[in-house]
Amino acid sequence: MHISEGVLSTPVLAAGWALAVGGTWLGIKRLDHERIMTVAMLSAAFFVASLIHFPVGPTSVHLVLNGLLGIILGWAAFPAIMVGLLLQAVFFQFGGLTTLGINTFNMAAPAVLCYLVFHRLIVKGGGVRPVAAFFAGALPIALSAVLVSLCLVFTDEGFLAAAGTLLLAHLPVMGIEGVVTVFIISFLAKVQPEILNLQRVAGA
Amino acid sequence: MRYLYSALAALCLVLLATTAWAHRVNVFAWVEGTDVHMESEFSRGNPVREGGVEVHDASTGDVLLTGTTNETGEFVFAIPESALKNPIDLEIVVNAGEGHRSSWTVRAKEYAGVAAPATESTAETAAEAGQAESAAPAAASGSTGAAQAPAAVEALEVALEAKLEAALDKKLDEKISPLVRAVNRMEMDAGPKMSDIFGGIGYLFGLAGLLAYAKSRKKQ
Repeated sequence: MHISEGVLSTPVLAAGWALAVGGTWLGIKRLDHERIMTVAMLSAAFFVASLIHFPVGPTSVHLVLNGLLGIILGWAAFPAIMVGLLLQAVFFQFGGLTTLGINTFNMAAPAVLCYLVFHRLIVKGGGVRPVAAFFAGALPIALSAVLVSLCLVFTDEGFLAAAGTLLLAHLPVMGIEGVVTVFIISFLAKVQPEILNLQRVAGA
Repeated sequence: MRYLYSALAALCLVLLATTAWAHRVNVFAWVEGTDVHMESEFSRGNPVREGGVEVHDASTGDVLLTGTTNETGEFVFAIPESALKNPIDLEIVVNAGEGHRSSWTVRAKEYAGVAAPATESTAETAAEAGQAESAAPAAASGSTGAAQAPAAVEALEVALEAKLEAALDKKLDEKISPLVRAVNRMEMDAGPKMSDIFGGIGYLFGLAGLLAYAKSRKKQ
């Protein structure tokens, strides 16, 4: 899901930076300082998740965890993912510095979108909670794959080829992260419900 | 909060236990004679199959030639004539699809000493000329042959030297290229060190501390 340097044109990179900076600014602005440590921990989980990889056909994929970050952090997923990606670029040479903006947007935007859709179902609780948690964990992966493919529309590869490959390769990731999110959300709902409800601010 | 910490700590440990090197296209290339050999892979034993390859002039960015990697992620191309005559840095870019891309630069000095096929043939003509020269005076009677002989010998020596150099170059390339590959492979397989991983996590917590400090100052 990390787009390498030198693949995209300058307008796409610039648009990515604008959107990512906007989302990050919103995330920091709305951040309750009680939750700073939670953001850091989930950012650390995101940072390390990229090292867990398994071969799928001709390529290999790794965990992303953006859905988990979104459902717990809401808009704060933007700064968490941006800093995580910056560190991945510097330490692991995943992605790059010029593509940091677009990569942040590709992974954080679906996370926030799924947060907006599924958060109230998770707050509701009952039998709908695990289902909502599963989709909140799995769907952002698919949406990120679509966004990455959209970025590649103007390259030789084109949208359809990239989308097909990315979606197919990430099916196992979607399954794994859906299940992981169900477990973590159920666990937090039991022992620390305030983590999931704190973010209920107007407009979210 | 304590539960969350322990849960996430456990998660991190599980993740660390299965750490591996992924999601980066590795490319490396080396010179053998007048060819450049290139290999590319995603991670250990996972070659980039049918990846697009472009060879650029590193200084101008002009595309010199294009190709496709084979099933084992390899691609071999002959150094373009123009580059052999006037060595330039060759940038080899591999596009592995889905926005993955990487490059490797073959420096001009890596193949600057290579004898181009053209120079070999000149050496041969020189040698032939020398033989013809030495044959002609030998047929002629007298002292001129004696004067001609050293020149012919010299021409032969020059030709021989060129041939020897080319043969040595070839042999050395054959001997050294496995070593070059091994060294490159070692560099590629190194992957992220534990210090990188913990360094990153440390940065995150440091940043969080800074933010928390700034916010607490504001409150007072």
